[in-house]
Amino acid sequence: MRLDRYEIKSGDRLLSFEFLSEGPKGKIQKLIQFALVNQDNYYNLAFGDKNPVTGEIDDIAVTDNGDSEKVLATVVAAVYAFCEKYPQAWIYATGSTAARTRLFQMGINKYFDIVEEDFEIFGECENEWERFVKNKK
Amino acid sequence: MKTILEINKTKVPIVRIDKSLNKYDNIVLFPEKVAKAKKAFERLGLPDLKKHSR
Repeated sequence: MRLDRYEIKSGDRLLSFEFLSEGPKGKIQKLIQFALVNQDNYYNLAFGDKNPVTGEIDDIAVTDNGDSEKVLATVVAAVYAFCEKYPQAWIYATGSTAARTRLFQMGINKYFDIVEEDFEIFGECENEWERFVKNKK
Repeated sequence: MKTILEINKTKVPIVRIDKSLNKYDNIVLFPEKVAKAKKAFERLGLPDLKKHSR
């Protein structure tokens, strides 16, 4: 099964990705970045909208372009591309708000059976890492 | 060689390289998130795969 996703572009090192979200609000440039946090192959994953005028990146903006699932599938595709190049990497990801983090959890839940074949997925629970459990309340 | 249909089914996408994106590699675009990731690492370290075996 392959989810509908946008085409992505990247720099040479597959650390920074860009794609265009298309929907009722028009075409919105999105940037995904894998930023090295420390030397233990530990990276932060974040993405947001690129302001076409200032070039600034905004990860708080509510784009509301009606394509959140496709956007998430595109981010997941970038994770696959990144991990092809950096197979030892640990990737930390969280939403800008509790609601967004919840949205991402729901996304993982929905496609857990597909992604767990390829990744070790953990969540932070009461100050500990816990293996991600599908549909856990 | 893979066919287009096979390529379209793969999880790893085709990525077009755009050198103009290289400029972002050395800039932290989301400093608050990176700070949060760093704090989580300092508190929890990395998950222990042996302890949490499937």
